[in-house]
Amino acid sequence: MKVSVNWLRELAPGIEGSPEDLADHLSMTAVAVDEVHPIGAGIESVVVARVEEATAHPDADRLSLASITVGTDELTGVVVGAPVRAGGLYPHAPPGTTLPGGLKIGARKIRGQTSHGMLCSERELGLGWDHSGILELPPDLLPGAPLAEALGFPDHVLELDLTPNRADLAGHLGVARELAPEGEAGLVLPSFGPAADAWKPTWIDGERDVSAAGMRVVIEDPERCSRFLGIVIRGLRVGPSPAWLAARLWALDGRPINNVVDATNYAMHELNHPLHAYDLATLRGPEVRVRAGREGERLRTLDGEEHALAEVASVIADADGAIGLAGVMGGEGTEVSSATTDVFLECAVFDPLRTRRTARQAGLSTDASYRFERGVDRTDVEKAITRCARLILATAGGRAEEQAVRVGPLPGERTVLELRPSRVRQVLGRSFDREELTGILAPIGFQPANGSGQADDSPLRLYVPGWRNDVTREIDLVEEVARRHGYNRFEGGAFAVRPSSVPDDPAWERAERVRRLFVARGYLEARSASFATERRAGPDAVELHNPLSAEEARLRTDLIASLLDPLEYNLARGRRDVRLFEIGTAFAARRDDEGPPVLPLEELRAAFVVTGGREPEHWGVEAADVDLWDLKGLAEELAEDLLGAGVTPVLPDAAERVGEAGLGSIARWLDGEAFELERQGRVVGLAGRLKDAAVDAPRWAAPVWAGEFRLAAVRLDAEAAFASLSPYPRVGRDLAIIVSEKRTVSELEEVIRRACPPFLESVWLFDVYEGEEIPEGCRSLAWRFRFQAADRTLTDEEVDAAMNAVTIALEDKSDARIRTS
Amino acid sequence: MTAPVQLVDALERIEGEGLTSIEAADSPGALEELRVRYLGRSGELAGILSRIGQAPPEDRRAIGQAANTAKRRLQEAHSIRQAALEGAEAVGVAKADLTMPGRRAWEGGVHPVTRVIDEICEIFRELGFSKVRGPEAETEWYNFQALNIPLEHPAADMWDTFYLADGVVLRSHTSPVQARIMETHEPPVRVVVPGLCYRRDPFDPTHAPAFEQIEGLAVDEGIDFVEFRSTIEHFVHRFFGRETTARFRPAYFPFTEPSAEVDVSCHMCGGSGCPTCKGTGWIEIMGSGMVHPAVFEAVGYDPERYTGYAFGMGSARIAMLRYGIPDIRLFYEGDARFLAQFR
Repeated sequence: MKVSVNWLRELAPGIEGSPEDLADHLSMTAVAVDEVHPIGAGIESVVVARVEEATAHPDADRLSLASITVGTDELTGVVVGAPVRAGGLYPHAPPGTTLPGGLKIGARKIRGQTSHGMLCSERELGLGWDHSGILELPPDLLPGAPLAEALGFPDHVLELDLTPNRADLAGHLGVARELAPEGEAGLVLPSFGPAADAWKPTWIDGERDVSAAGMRVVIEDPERCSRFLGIVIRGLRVGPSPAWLAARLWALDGRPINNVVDATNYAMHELNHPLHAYDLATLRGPEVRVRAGREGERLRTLDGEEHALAEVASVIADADGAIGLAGVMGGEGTEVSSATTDVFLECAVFDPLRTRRTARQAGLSTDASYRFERGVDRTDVEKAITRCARLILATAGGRAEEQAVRVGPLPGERTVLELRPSRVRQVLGRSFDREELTGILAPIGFQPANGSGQADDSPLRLYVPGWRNDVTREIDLVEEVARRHGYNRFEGGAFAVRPSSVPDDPAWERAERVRRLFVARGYLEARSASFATERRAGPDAVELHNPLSAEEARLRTDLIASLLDPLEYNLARGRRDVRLFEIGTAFAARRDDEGPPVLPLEELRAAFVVTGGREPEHWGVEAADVDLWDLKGLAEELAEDLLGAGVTPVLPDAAERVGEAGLGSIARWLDGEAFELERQGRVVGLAGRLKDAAVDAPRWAAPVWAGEFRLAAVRLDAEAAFASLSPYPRVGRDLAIIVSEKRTVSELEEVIRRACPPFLESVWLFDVYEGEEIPEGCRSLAWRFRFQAADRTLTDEEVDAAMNAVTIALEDKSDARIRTS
Repeated sequence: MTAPVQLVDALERIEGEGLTSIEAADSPGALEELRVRYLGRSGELAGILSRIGQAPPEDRRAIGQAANTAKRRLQEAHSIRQAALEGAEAVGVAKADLTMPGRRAWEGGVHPVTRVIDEICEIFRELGFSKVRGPEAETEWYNFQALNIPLEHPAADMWDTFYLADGVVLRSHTSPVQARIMETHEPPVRVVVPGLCYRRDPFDPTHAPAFEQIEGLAVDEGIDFVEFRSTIEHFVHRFFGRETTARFRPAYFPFTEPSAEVDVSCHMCGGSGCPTCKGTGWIEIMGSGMVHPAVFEAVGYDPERYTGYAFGMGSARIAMLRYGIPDIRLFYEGDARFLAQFR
C-alpha cells in the first residue's frame, strides 16, 4: 500500500519530520514501511510545453515534428516518437537535462531534423511505469511552468506492508491519524471550494428498496451488502482532472483517467471507501440491485475480461442483467466515458467474505476488493460519498440531485469495550493509570464512553471507532496501548527460567544418536523437502491437491527417494565418492476412511546412501570401493549400536514381512544383496545394494549402497546398561574346519555357541579359504575364540574341553572336518 | 706359516677401516652390512681368528688379545652408531618424505541448519524449555482455526498453504504444535518445536516450498510482555553476540496479541546499512507476541489466569545469516562440497 507524504501532511498539518522519520515512526508503532522513495525528484528542469503544431517527420514514418512553446511566443522544434496533438500540454526536457533514469538530453539531429530536447513519457519522468506514449498533462497547467513545482512535487511515497488487521491504514486519513501528534483532533479535510463544499444531500432511506432522484436501488440479499448509498449528478462535463488531482494519483502509481473516475479514486485513497460511478444513461430501469450472480450470466468488466458468473459471486445488476462484480470491479457497459453527462455514484458496504469469494471466483484482486475483504467503516459512508460528489462537482461541474438514496440499516449504537487497568498490567508487565490509558487511546479514536467508573481499578469504557473493525475484545485494546506506548520502552525485568510440564520428545535424542553415528563414519547430513515425483514416490504416496509442479506433486514414502537427487547431483558433477544421510519424515496414505479429515501416516526415518572408495584415495592404500561387506558392517553397527537389533539376509518372504512393517517402499530400491534390520522379530529397517535402474549414474560410478530404518526403533542412551569386567586372564584359541559350502556361517556359529560353556567371551570368523587342498563344494573356515570367566582363572583343561566340545559338535552336526596344517 | 706381525697388522688395519666406516654409516642397513663384514660369523675378524692356529704358540695369546680388543672396539662403535642412527630416525632426520599426505578416514558433517537448530534449542533449554515436535501434515483446525485464524479471511492469506485433502494441509508453520501441546499438558508449558513447514513458494534464492522453523511457547501465571521481551533479548545476545541489539515492532499474527516482529542489528554493517540488511541496519528474525486469549480458549486454558508468549523463526534463514550463505537452495541440493564445509 502506497501513501504520499505530501498528502498526509495536507490531512494532518501537525505532522513533522522527514519522510524517513515518518516511516520509522510508523514502523515502530503501527505498520512496517518497506520503502521510502521520492517522486518528482530529478525533473526540476522539465517544464510544461504546449504543442502548437505537429507534423509528420519527412524521413521517418513513426516520428513526428512538434513545434512547442514554453510560455513565450518562441517556437522550439522537437522530434517526437509518439503521437501528440496541437493544443495539448506535455512535459518538455530541454537540452542539458538529465532525467531520473539517467538519460541525458541534448540538442541532436534525428533523421536530419534537430530536436531541441524531448517530450517525455510517464516512465521517463519517474511518475509511473507507462512508456507507451508522451504524457499529456492536465490542461490547467501553464506553459513554461516548471513541471515538478506545478504538480506539487517533490513528494515521497511510503510503501506500507499492510497487515490484514489494519484495514484503516489503506487510506491516507487513517495513516495521518497515526502520525498526527494530536491524533484525530489534528486532521483536516482539504476544501474543494466553497460552492462544492456547500452541497449536502438529503437521504431517502429504506431497508431493501429505495427510489429517489430518478434512480432505484435494491439490496436483494442483505448478507452480501449491508449499506448502499447513491447520488445522482447530472449535466457534468467529463474531461481531464486538474493537475493537483492527477499528481496525487501519479504519486501512488495510479493513472488519471477522467475527472469522475479520478474523483472516486481520490476519495478511496483519502477516506478508504471504494466508490464507483456509473454512466446513468446506460443503466436500464434506471436501477441497480445487489444480488447473487446467476448461472449462465456473463459480464465484461472494465479491464475487458469476460466473466462467467455463478451464484457464489455478488453482482450489481440493472433491469437487464449484471453490470458489475459487487465490491470488485465495474462493468464495461456502464463505464463513464467522455460522452457521459449524468452519473450515478455508488458507495456501499459489501460483505468481506462475499467480496472475497466474488473476487476469487473472477480471479481478480482490486483496490476495492482489497478494502472490502478487510472491512470498511460502516459508520462514515455518508461522509465518503458526499466528499466524492463534491469533488466531482468541483472538477466536472454539473448539478447533484439533492435527494440521495440510502439503503440498508443505519449504523446502530457504537461498540463499547471495557479495558481493565489490571489486565493491562497483567499482560504488559507495566502499570498505566487511567489518564495514561485514555491519553494513549483517545487520539486514535477510542473515546471514553459513559459509565466508566472513577476508581483506579474499575474498567475504562471506550468507544470503538467505526474504522477499527479489527478491535473486538479487550486484548486488542491492550495491544493498542503497547504499540502506541512503544514496544521498546517495556524495559527492565530479567529473563526467567521457569519449569515446564512437558517432557522432551525422545525423537530428538534418537535423531542425535543417529547423527553422531553417521558423522563419525564419514557421512554428510543432507536435508530435503519432503516432495517426490510420481516415479520416486511409492505406491501409497500421498498426493498434493495444489502442488507447485509435477516434480513436487507427492510426498515421499521413504527417505532413500529423497537422497537419490543429491546422489545424482554429486555424481553429475564428477564426484565418485558420495556418502550422505538424512533424518526426516516419510508419509503414507491412510487407507481407512473413518470420516474426514484423515491425516496421512507419518514416520520419522533415517536413511543413507554411499558409493565410491572405502577410504579417501591415498598413495599408501590400495584403492577399494565400498562393497557388500562394508555395507553389512555398517548395517551391523546400526543394528547393534543404535537399534538393539540383528541383521539377517533378506529372506524369500521379505516383501511380505516388509510390507506389513510399512517399509515396503524401501524394498523396491534394493536388489538381491540386501539385509533386514530386525528387532525382536520385527523388521525396522533395510539396507543393501541399490538397483542400477534406481539411479542415473555415470559409467565410472561405483556400486551404490543404501539403507533406511525407523527412528522410533533407535534405543535411547538411558537404555544402555553396564556389564561387569572380568579381572581374570583371557585365553585364546583358533579352530579351522573344512565344511560344505551349503553350511552358512551363521548356522555353524549357532552350533559353536551351543557347544561352548558360558565362559566363551567371543568368537569370530577370521579366515575363509577355497581352492587348492580344499575339496570341491567345500570351504575352509577359521574362527578365533576368546574365553574368559568372570569368577576365576580358566585352566587349560577347561578350555581344551570346550574346544573339544566345539569340534565334536561341528563334526557331528555339520559334517565338518578339522583342518590341521 | 704366517708371521704374527702380519696378523697383528691385519687386525689393526681391520680395526681402523672398520671404525672409520662404521662411524660413517648413514643408515641402519649400511651399518648392518658393516657389522656382517667385520663382526659376522664369516667376517674379517673371524677370518683372522681362524688363522690364529697358524701363528707360533707363543704369539697366539697376544694376537688373541689384540683380536678381542679390536672386536670390542668395533662392537662399541657399532652400538654407538646404531643408537645414533635410531635416534636420528626418531627426530625425523630420516629418509621418508614426511611432506607426503597422511592416511585419512572419510569426514562426516552436520548440516548447517541442524547446527543452528541445535544451538537455538540449547539456549532455550537453559531457560527451561523442552524440545517437542508435531505432525507435518495437519488438520485445518490446528493449522488455522485453533490459532484464531479464520479461513476465508485475508489473515489466512499470510500462509499460502498446500492441501492434501479436504481439511488436511501440510502445516504452513510450526504453530499448530502450540495448540497440540496445550491440549495435552497443563501449564506451566515451555517448549521449543523445531520442524519442517510447507508453503507454496517455488524455490528461489530466498524461498523454499519446505523449510525449517523453530516455534517457541511459554505459558504460566505471571508471564508478561516485559518478561517476553527480556527473554528474547537474552536469546539474541546469546545467539548473535552481546554487541547485537534487538528491537520489537508491531506486527499482526492472529494467534498472538500484542504481536511483534523482532529485528536484530545487522551483523554485517553493525547497523549503518548494507546490502545484507537492505540498507536498513536491521534484519528481521522472528515473529512473536503474547499468546492470544482466543488460543487459550480453544485449548481449554483460562485466559484470565494464564498468560504467555510465543515465537517462530526460520532456522534456515538464520543459518544463511550465520554462515553468510547467499542462496537457500544450497541447503537442499545435497552438494557434498557445500555440506563438507560444516564439520
